[in-house]
Amino acid sequence: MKTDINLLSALQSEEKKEEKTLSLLRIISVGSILFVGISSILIFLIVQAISPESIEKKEKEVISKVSVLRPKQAKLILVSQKIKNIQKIITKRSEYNEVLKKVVANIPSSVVVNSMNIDEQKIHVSVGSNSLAVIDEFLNNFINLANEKDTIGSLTIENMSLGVQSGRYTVSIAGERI
Amino acid sequence: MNPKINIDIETIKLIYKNYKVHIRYGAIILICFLVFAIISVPKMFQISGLLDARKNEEKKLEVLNKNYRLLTSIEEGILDFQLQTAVSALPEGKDFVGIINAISLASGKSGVSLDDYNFQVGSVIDKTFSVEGFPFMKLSLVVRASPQQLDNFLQSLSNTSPLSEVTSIKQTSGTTNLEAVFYFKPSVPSNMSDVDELNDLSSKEKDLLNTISSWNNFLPAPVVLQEDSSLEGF
Repeated sequence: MKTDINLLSALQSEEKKEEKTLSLLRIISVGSILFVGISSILIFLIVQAISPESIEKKEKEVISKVSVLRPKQAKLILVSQKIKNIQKIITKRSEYNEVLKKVVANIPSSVVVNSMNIDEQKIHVSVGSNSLAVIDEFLNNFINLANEKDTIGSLTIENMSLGVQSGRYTVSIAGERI
Repeated sequence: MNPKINIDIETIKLIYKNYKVHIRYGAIILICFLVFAIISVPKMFQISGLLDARKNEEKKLEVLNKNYRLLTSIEEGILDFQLQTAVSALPEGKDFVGIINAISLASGKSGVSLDDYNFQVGSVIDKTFSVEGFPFMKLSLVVRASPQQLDNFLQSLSNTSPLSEVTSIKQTSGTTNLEAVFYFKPSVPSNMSDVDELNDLSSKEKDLLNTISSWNNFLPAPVVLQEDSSLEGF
């Protein structure tokens, strides 16, 4: 006859297993409560900390302070706009006095200027003199000016004549402005 | 043959009785999971959006504070003077008084004698001569001057308010016909909002204003801004 059969032991091991499962469930459920609780509090705190509402409140305060200075702000913007436009005009406008200076500097003092036209595209100069040498000097000066490619791009002699009775030479030149 | 499972109330009661504790713990875990999934997870996703929004608001606040500091640091008197100088150089409209004043001053400084001059009033926007986008008034003048005097006159005119540009010179026997344009520019309403950054004038711009004011010919143009004027109103 077998004497080592123990039915109680199997029952005890079942109970132990059951207890283990229960304690595991307990730990998981308590852990879940703690995890959800702590994480919810943390998320709430983080959201509160980074919420832009406080900054928006400060913005409103500053805007109300700036609104008192509105006329000043408008003036500053107006000055800024104006000065930018002034800069544009000053940079882009052509300086006629510089062109005139160069043209006049190249006309020998002994010639008589009959006419001189300067516009956006062209420069026309008509001079007269009794001396051919002076006319030659005038032409050479303007050829050099054209070669410099600074004021005049190309040069054309439009007319050259001699008044037989007066003995006066007349020459007209035209130059393309750069 | 499919086994048929019959669960009646008694069976449920029996299961609940046997697994009461298990079911309670299971319910707690399930509720925690649902709370986390439904409430906490979406909030976590909101955090990055909130961070971006906060960054934007911080930037706006910084700009607002900067604008406020700038506006309080600018002296009203200096700003008024700068505005008058700028408006005299580039008037809001056709400034006949300013133009006549400029011509008289330039002729006085250079010693040229003015014969006569006439304005071409009207809508005169000629793209050939004007700096693009700037309306102007055209003026024809006849001056009696030597080339040196003429040079001085042009120099003076270019350094006089309002801003002008000579577009043609025709000289015949001591008489010179000049055509000049005088620029003006009405200010356009600004769409600037409170959170757009304001900048003080640069040193280059201040130098330019100083140069214009040193021309010493501008008549202070009255610039009236209402106390309650908004940015869109001027």
